Amino acid sequence: MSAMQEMNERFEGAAEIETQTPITVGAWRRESDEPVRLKLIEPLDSGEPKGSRPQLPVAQHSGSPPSF
Amino acid sequence: MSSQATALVDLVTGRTVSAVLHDDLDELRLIDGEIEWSPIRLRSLRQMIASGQATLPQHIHWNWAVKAVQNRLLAYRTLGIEAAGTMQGLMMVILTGHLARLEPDRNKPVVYVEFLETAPWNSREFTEMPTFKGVGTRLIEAAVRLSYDEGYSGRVGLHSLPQASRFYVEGCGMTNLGSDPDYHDLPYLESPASRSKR
Repeated sequence: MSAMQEMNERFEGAAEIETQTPITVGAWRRESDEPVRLKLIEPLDSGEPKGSRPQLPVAQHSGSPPSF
Repeated sequence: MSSQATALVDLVTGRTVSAVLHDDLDELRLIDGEIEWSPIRLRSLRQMIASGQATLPQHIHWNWAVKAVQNRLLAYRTLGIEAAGTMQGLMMVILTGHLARLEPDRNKPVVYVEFLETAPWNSREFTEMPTFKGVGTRLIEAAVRLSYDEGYSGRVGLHSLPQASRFYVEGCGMTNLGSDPDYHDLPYLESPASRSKR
């Protein structure tokens, strides 16, 4: 039996199974390829009042341009 | 890019339809494919969320245009099946850097399938009435042929969705070597080398 005949026999019926199951291949869990997930914006037990925002440092400007 | 004739089955009419297998798609063709697939994915996602579906297809966020750009300098090759004027399935493979795990060919090179996806209108994860049958089968056959062409004797490896393993084991004759702790615990499957002459 040739390799091509062997392959044809091997794949006989594959298309039928394909209609019944997912066939996807791939590392969708890779960090750069993360799946869409629902996320809570604020943790429920954070202790922070809802809507509060962290205080960001405010840049102090002396009015003169920086020197390099 | 070269292409050859192949066939799919139209699940609405039950008839065999002619298709074209492209064996080296460029970035623009992948972007064109994503332009066709993306709106369907988004419509399906909207429908799933609107109907309260608890779990979404794990690859619903995929974007082949981005994959094409990310991998442009690497040794990837993308194959696709086109029918009825649109891309029906895509598969990205790499020909170097992956070695067989199955004995007796352990450590011999394999064609490694990095990504494979059928068009959303062919997938039961996205639609209750898929359009074409045979897309994944034709793509895996192409990977095996490519393996012969590269002198790898038909060896092909891949990590599949756990739910997809049945197709690769029962349909494609691959061996499931179990979940791979070094690869997100996804099942690793391998097609053994043929002992037949080509």
